[in-house]
Amino acid sequence: MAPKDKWKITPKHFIGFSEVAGGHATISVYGRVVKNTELQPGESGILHPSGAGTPLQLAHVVGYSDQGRCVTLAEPQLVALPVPDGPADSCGWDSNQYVVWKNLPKNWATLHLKASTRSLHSVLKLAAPGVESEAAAPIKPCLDLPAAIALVRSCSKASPDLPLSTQLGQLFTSPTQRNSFCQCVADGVPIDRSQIPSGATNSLQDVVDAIAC
Amino acid sequence: MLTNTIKKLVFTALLVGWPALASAAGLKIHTAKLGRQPSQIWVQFETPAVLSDCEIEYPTNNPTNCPQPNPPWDVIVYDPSGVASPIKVITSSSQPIGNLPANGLVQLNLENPLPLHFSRIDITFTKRNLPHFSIEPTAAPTAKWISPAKTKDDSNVYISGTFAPAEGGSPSYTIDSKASYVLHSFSNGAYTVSATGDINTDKKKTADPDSFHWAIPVQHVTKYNLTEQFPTIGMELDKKGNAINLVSAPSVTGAIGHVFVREDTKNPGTKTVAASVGLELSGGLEFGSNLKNDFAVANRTLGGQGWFLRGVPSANLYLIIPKVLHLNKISFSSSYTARLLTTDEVFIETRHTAKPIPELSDKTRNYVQNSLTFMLTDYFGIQIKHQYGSLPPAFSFVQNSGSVGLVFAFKETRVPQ
Repeated sequence: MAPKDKWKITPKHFIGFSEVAGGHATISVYGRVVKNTELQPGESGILHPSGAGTPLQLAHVVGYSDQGRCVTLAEPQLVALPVPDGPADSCGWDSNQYVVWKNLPKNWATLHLKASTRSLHSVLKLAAPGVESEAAAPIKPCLDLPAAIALVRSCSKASPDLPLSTQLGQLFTSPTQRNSFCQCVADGVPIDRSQIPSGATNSLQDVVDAIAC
Repeated sequence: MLTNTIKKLVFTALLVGWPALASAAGLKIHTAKLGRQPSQIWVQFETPAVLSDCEIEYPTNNPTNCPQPNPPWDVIVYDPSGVASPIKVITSSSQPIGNLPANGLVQLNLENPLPLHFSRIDITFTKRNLPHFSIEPTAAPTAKWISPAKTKDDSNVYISGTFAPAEGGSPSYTIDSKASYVLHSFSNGAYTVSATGDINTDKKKTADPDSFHWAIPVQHVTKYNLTEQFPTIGMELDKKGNAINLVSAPSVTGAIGHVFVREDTKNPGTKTVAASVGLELSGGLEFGSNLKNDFAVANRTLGGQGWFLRGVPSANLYLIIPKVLHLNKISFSSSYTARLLTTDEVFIETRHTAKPIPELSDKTRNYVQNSLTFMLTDYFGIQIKHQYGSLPPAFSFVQNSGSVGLVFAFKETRVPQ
């Protein structure tokens, strides 16, 4: 064993205090920028999250990452966001198609739009007195179908030529292997392992179905 | 008699194999889901999908060999009032994931975005047997609460044994069963608290492992094929309660495995599992207190033998051969557990004696159990079992006991949170 006095702390071992303290209060958001939708912070009734006067734009948000937990929205949302921080670099989003907004304050008040195709009458009827607006459903963590298949394939480490109908019992002979596979999938969504079908005759497809939106 | 048994076995094997034969008759769409974009739909065929990219690609990448004048899909959207309107598919490909026969996934891009509110979307593949699927606005997930298990270790409930009534005497039986139930889970299910119980006993005086055990283990499952079990309370006792131990059993278990695959001749482009093997190695401790020991010396009947500590290395070997000899599967498992004692504990010698003799010693207690199971269906099978050695708390020695019987095993697939 090396003597203790030979080891020295390096800059890589440090973390900024603001990074630690702010980690719980911010969130990273993934999505795409909607073309030609520039909004001036003051005029649109909302403020830039950093207080700067740079314009905001509408974003088609598909997911977010909160303290390392990746969540895919069941339905993409339209919200006003600042200029993105770069291509998507985490949570499995394709960096060629998606961008990331990092460290957005969770309590920042922004503009949320809901785009839908409806007849003029039905829109007006919804706004009439006595009609309650639709309550926002709680978001259950799930993945879209290709991401769900990719996660299950990745955790199983099985040959890509094996069909998804292959039973777990044929791939994982020992209970330890099967539990670890289910834990890997559960961490990737993330959901509780108890929500992952783990019987010997459950198939990879059953696991995909359990985590796909 | 034998002919009838064989006929019944063949009939059962046909019943088991029938769904596989039936599914080969045509394509079936397993599911369809709205995509990430409002003008996108993902369709998934049941796998293995005997399909080539050529059949689903539009526009086609190979116009010479795969002419595709129109997209091979019909998409019809029904609005909330039930009025139908078709939406044209502009592209169709298996690009998101690839390997169409194994994954069955196809991405459809539509000419117009789908409305947010609809009563149904019908999707039809306009080739072969015209498989179709309907997307409903809210689809309740199906929840299977139990499923067949593979081995005793894997089961939540495992019942295996034999029973033979005898005229003019007591019936003979063997029981090797277990039950476990997850009480609570947290940290995405990585940690679980369970209640478990095991019984392993036999009517025969000289071949009775005579081991009953219950515990409330806390288990930590990692995604690296490693499981830790933390010490909590448990108890081991024999059938008549002559020996009772309060016991705690922390352990670490690691596993490795390999899957042998072969070409699936029935479904070109895909493979199937030929056999799979696995090995689990475990290291742990068992410690606690002997509360009662009627086998020990006569002048120490109160308070038992006191504290004990055992080192418990073990190994489990698994082999699974699916769909062989018209059976659902053949599985073989072999387990070896050594208990390295640090104090004298009771040992019941059953060899070369008409009446079992209790002894006190600290010699290593070995236990080997082999089982070969022929599963007729996912839940039921015929099992040949062999065991050798001794189990706590009485450590009654079993010398090469064999049995043939039925096995029924299932596993709870979901647990309360």
